[in-house]
Amino acid sequence: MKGRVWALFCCLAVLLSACGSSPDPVMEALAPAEEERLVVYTSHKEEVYGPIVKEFEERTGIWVEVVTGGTNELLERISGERQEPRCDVMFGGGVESLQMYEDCFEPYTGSGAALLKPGLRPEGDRWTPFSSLPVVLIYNTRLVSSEEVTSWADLLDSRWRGRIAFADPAVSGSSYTAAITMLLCLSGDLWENLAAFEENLDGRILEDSGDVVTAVDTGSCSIGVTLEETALKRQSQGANIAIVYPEEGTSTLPDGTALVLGARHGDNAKAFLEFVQGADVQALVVSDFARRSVRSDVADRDSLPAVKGIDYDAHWASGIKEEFLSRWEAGRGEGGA
Amino acid sequence: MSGVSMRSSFQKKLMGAFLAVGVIPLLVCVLLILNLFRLTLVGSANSIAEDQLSTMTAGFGELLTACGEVLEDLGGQRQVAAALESREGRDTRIYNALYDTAAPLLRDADFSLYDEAGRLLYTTGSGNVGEALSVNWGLLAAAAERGGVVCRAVSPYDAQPRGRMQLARAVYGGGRVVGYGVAELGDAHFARLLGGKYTADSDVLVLDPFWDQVYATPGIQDESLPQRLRACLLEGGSLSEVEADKNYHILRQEESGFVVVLRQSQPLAAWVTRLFYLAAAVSLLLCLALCLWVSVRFSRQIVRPIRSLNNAMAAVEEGELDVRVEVPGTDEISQLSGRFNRMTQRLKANLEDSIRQQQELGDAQIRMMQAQLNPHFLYNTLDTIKWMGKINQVPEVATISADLADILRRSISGDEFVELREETELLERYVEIQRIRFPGKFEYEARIPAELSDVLVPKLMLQPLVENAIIHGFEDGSHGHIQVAALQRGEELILTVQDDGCGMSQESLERFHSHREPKSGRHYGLYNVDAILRLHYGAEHGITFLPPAGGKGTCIRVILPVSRREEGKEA
Repeated sequence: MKGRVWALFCCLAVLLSACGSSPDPVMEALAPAEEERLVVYTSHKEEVYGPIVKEFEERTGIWVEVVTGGTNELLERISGERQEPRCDVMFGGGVESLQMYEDCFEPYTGSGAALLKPGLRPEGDRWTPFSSLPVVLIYNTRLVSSEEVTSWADLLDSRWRGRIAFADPAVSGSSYTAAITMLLCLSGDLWENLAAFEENLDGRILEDSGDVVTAVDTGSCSIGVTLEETALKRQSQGANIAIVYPEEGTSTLPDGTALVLGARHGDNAKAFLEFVQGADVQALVVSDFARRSVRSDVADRDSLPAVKGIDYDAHWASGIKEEFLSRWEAGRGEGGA
Repeated sequence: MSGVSMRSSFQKKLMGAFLAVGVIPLLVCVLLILNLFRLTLVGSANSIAEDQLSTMTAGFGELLTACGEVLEDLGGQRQVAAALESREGRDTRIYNALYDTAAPLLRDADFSLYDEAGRLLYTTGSGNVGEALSVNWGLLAAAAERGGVVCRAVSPYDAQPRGRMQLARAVYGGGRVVGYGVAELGDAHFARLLGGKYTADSDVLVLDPFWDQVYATPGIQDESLPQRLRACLLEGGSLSEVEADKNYHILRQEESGFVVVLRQSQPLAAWVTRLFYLAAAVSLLLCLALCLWVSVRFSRQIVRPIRSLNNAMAAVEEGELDVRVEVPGTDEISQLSGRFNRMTQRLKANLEDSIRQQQELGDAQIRMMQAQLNPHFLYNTLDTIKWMGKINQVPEVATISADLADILRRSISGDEFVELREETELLERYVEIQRIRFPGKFEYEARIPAELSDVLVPKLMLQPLVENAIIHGFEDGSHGHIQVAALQRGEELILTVQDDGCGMSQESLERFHSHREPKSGRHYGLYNVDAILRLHYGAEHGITFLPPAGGKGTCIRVILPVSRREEGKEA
């Protein structure tokens, strides 16, 4: 009897309190349909992906949900979600990183594939290059004169011993690319050159690739190795640095955009790939982002000199990474000791 | 059942009843009132918000339409197209045309003209000639491509953002795009558009079709709010998760796809609700305490007399009949207590009665046993006397003692009724003794028909009547005659004892007829016989005095029903 009274009472209470909250039919009505959506994982900064995503939305009417993060973090997530992909497009990330997760991606040949600059189109079109990022040398304009640094070979010159800003290739993907580029451009044995370079660093290795420009700008280092985009951006912000395109040439490895295998919004993802590779975005890449276009029909900034590209085999580069890192760690131990 | 458990169960029932009656209706009332109050408040706040929102959205839509009309108008003016084509920005005629066309909306938006390369030439707002918009990206590209009026939020990534929102229309000259007419809505324009259309406790957010922020009223400090709303929309979450104590009302302006969001503080702030619930809880607790107190008091009032009654009954069970219960009032329990008291009183009286009877019975038995002791001793003594008389050759002594022993034996036998023959034999013995005592004083004659000798009569009935005749009839020393006769008339046995002595005094007769006890020593035998007869046969069967034959002496008649000993049954 008492139990029944209590049950009745509880029902009443629940009924009364349930009157207050209600679902959001307005939101449901306004929410875009599934075929009007796209999920993009991006390691680009907001200033890069923001305008592109916005213009894509305005032009296509597709709602883009952006998830930001570091390249490796996002690639790990995509790899983890392989059974049930949430992401449709991976936007950003160097091709070496994309290479390592290439079985997560679906090949897609964009309509502009034929217009890509030579050497940038990947084998099998597993991803689409977004912008070309040459590796450059920089120097502090107050401490170093323009004729003192001209080539990769200068990095082995003992007069710069301990005054070279270089990020740890074990941590930074771009720094690894830079190191391989240097080794490819130098004549002589690969590993001996690496040992010589590491010795010339004199144990001074920066943790983050962003620190390179700062170290050179503040004068704590005289010269450094970084990406052209980073150098140009900091230069426009007033840093005391000058850019040197090495005589031997340099790598112009692009970053890329990739279609995730089994993407839920595959058609929208392909539209996005077309868009980022299209002339309008590539023009923006040149005009607003201090980058070089991957399209041969989009001219780079007039102020930028032509780059003497070298033949950089990303596949080979990622193949020797393990050996490189073990030798690097070994040499580092000696340098530190 | 012990007193404590009875009390606790009583208390439990009472408490349950009191709680059910006291707390539940209160709880239901409180919840009903609270929720009705909240629903009413929320309902009115919602309707106000919906009104404001639709007013604002309609105003916004009208402004966009009006701006679009101005841009269409500008695009259709040939001098404007020509001026844009010439890329000259200092022509007052064009300015006049611009201001004239935009006249009704000059305070609601800025209007500008851009050349085909996206450079600003004329504007009603602030801005330097030479500022540029991209023509292959964003607003102007869309305007050129689509042909009509295009509206866009101003990108926050623009190097020099102009306003918050722009509308653009391409101006054509000679079949190609020669420039653009652009309307720009800045913060001031939005403030003017929305001002006074929302209440002070709410805020307004204008979002573009993809839910990126266009404009927010100053009350919205949180820059991430549009992003969270957008995430909520895309993930299908609930708006209440965006911000706890805010309500959101959202309306889309259909033509542009822009969205107006009204953020409203919850009509019933969380702390007010908490206060309400606290007050409700406190009053419930008070009510609960009151119920407990009343139930305890009430149960005590009922339980205390019941417990004392119960204890008293337990005492009675143990045999203690002197126990009495206090009768405090006049209610049912008091009545019960009173009845209990009377019941124990009666019980006690009954018990005392039965004890007394028991005692009396015991006494009688003792007396009987004592009485049985004496005759045996008397027998033996009489037997001894008889033999001593025989040995000493005093035959009278032997006869008397033998007769006496015989009378004694018959008189103490257990039978109440004896046959008439036995009664007459006993009478013979008695008469023999009296003859020896009073030789020659009377003659005795018994006339009993043989067929009546087995009729049953009360034992020792005739002897007292004859004794009365011998003792009182001849006390004056005279000589007389005693006759005992029996005859049957119908079903009745008539016995008469007649003497011719001096007769009974008038006084004795009267006393006898009034059934009063006789004077000491006088006519006791008569009285006893009369009493025995009445007891055995009823009041009408007592002794009757008849006028004696010859007018002298006494004649006593006794009438009895004829009864005989049944076959096979010992008396």
